[in-house]
Amino acid sequence: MDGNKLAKTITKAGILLIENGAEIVRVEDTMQRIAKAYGAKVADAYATPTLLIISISMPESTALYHNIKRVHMKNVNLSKIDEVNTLSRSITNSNLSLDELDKKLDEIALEKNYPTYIIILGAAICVFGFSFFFKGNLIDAIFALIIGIIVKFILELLAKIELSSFFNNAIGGAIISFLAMIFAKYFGSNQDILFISSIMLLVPGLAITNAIRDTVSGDIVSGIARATEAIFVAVAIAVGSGITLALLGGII
Amino acid sequence: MLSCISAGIASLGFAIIFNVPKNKLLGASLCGAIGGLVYDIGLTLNYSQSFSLFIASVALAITSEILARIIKCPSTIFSICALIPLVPGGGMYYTMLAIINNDINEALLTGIDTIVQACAIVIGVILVSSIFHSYKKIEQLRKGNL
Repeated sequence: MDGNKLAKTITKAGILLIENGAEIVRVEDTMQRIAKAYGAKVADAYATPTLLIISISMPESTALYHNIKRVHMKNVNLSKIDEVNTLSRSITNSNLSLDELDKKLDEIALEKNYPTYIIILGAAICVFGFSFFFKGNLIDAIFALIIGIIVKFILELLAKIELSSFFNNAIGGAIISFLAMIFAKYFGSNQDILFISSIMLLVPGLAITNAIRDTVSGDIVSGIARATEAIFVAVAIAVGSGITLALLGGII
Repeated sequence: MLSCISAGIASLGFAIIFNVPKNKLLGASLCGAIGGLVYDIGLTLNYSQSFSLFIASVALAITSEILARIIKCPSTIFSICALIPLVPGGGMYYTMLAIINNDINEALLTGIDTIVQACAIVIGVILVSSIFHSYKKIEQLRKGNL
């Protein structure tokens, strides 16, 4: 078994998991599981949201094989996490060769997300549900749905030009509070409900969850990194909507 | 009842945004609905908001662990989508509003409340997933000993 190749394939799996929003315990477990499945003697994996390290040794030699990778977090895609997880568990049962595993990981990496219009539809459904959850009526829900569609559409456009995520969220917050003010003023809807239900599209729910989860399971570095991410997303939303509210509060 | 259905709808929306595979969308929606239902029950029983959120997240985590055992996939797929409706977005909004109005006392009050609520939700989920994890370990140990 080629240790270098194994190390490379393991990092590939780890990167896929981190990029798509898996928690650190799962990433490290999966990397070690793959290493053990191919007979590595020592297998140490270390993962943070931005860095990935694997160190393995094979039974036939005394050499250690390492691979270090810089990771960039991307969109959340839970289905890829699911697939990598299932794949790593099936190695021992199905006698998957290393080459096949490598190929399958590449296939998973290339899988497309849902098309943009479905994502926007998802955002619309989501905001529609939220406005009822926050005790709004049907009119609020319909306006929230319109806001949801517009905001998600603009966010998808912004993601294409690779603006930093801080400004993405700030612009999202600004648009939401602007539209919520307009709809509340001229169409008699409830501004608070409109704002709260559409802001849920931006709220860093996953980052908060993963931050606390990582910290509790002992991955303190990742916990702090993700908490910082969550705080700054929240700050960005507050900056965007705060500026809009302060600026237009006197006019509209 | 309304919050049960609406939380289910919201979770379904988030499941789509998070690219949950098609055959598991309904599972995520179901977990979200149960979370919303228990949260509502907690509030009508006059529990505090944080405690209602806590029991809601315990309930949805148990559902998602059971579903994950049945369908054989990571439980986070369901629990993450179902958690999001409970995240205190309203608290964040009112905190920000207070900051803009220069009302620091109010901002601190609502801000700390919001943080406590966020922690309550996540700790509920982690509690359940650690218990399930330990249970699995105990089962393995028992089988190893026999």
